[in-house]
Amino acid sequence: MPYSVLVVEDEPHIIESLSFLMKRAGHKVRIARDGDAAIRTMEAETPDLVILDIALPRRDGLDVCRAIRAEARWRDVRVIMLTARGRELDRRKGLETGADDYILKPFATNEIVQRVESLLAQGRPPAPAGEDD
Amino acid sequence: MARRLFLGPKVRQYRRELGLTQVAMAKKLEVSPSYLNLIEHNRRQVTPDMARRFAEVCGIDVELLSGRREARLRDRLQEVLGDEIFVDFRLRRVDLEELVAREPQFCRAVTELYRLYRKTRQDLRVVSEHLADDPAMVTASHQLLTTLTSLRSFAEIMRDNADLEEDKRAEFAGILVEESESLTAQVRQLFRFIGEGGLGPDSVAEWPREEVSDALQAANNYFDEIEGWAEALREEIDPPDEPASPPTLSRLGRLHGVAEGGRGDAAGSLAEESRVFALLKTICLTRHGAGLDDLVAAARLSSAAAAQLYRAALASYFAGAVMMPYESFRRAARSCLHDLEILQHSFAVSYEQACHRLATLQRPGAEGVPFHLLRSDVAGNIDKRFSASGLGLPTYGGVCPLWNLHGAFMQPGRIVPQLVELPHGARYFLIARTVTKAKPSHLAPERVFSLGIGCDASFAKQLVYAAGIDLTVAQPVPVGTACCQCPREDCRHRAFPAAVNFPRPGEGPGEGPGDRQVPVAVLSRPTG
Repeated sequence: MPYSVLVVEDEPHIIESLSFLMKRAGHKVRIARDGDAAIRTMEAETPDLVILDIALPRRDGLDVCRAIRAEARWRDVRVIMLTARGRELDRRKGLETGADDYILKPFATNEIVQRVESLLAQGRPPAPAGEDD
Repeated sequence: MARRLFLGPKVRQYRRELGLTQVAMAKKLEVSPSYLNLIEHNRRQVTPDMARRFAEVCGIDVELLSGRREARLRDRLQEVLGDEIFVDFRLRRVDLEELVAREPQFCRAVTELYRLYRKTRQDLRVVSEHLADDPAMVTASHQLLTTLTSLRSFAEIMRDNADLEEDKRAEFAGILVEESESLTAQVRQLFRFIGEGGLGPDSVAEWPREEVSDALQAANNYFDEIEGWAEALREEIDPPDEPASPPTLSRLGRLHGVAEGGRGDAAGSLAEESRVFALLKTICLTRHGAGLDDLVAAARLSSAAAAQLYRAALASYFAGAVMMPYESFRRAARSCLHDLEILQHSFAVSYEQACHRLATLQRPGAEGVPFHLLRSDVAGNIDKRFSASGLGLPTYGGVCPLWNLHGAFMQPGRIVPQLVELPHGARYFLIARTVTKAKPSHLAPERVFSLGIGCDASFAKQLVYAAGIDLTVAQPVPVGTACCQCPREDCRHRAFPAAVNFPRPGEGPGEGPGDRQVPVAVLSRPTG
């Protein structure tokens, strides 16, 4: 049973590589290219996990993460923050907004796949077929 | 020295360039087509004789088949992949050899990209101190990391997914090329920004030196044209009655009217050989400016600072070539078993000048012993490196702490010999000695360097420093090149973890002491 992963990222090549990796791992992938689109996509269909870039147009990833955590229906959604910024301050901010994990660019593809798998394994089982469609 | 892996694909490539079938090429080489087929698939070794015949048929320099360029590329790639950003790559040495054999241009592109990345990272560090909160810098670093993320992701995807469909592979390779171009543009933009932002050229001065070392290496540290200029000058200054005497200041000054020194008292405090050397450099710059321009242009360096440094290195080469004329120096070196003290006295040169000259004796057809040379300061920073010996010298990190290059600092002024064995069984004979630079004043701190030269152990019997050492029974010191590239897990001197996944003995070809390849390396043996 596939999990549903939402990739929120504005760089086309990174979207392509993350989509490829998630599909190879057997998951269903949806894409949002900015913060507003991320929330709209989640309202239409709740994913199991969100890979969320911090530097996004319109509404940044920290804000999106806060919005996700403020909604009870999205309580079980796992969030991995993705950023090119490495300062401790950013990291703390990311985790304080309620992200489950935090990965720095440039990431190792094996590592991001492993972290996604481990977070999904901790969460609820994949949604039954039909519910997401 | 697993160079054989490089040869098969090369033989095939040159044959195809000539438009010859295996049958046609085999006929020209007077071997059977099936034997040629085995060679092309690395199943048979290329003997020196076969390599010569092949080079003749293809009209190429036999050096192109030696595999030395590829071995250097492999070492460089291995070092690059040893960086912590590739910690998950864990490529095996044998994989790298296959990669270099099949895709040398791609491997060069990767090492060039890494050089640019290092350069950028270094400059970013400098810039961050000056402009930590500058929004333009924050944007630039974000863009660079984003591009690197993309490059790394697709490189890893291509590595990890052998079953990728052909069109996907082509698409991802296209993205790699596109992102590499983007990275280059970003780096250029960054440099423009740094230039305009008031950061002086000093902040990036470390890197031109690396580029110059690479350019010298690419030329095998031998410049036939400059040798010609030097010989012409010697003919002018050598008096007919004493043709072999070293050039002196007064003779040079009289002949060329070049003002000696120009450095005031500091020049006056230098030893005679240093003043002659400096004067010869000036003569080179004034007489051969256009020729130097051509050589510098041919090296296609990326910055004005590198070009200036390279020009100075070539002028130094000229000075060394005048003071130690190629053929007489090579003959003298051979007959005195490379005794550096004898060479110093005979040619009125310094220890360092003599070492440098030894490392240039690579005239095709009249090679001397192939030496490598490197110079380290007391903190282990390498500021000169060149290798004709085949020994891989690290570009970016520190050298193995077991090398006598470091130990020489404990015995200042003494020549310290050492027989070493690399993890893959290759043995080298090294000598190192400290050199102390002249001080401008009593209170100025002393500048001391350790200068190391060495050669493949098979040449050691031609060195006076190996006298009394029975090389067949001597126990070599087990060393590496740099910790991050070294598989000796149990080494007590290790400073950093290894970052390349090394196969256990017997796990793959090209590994282990039993695999040393001699046939083609023999081609570079000194002649005459």
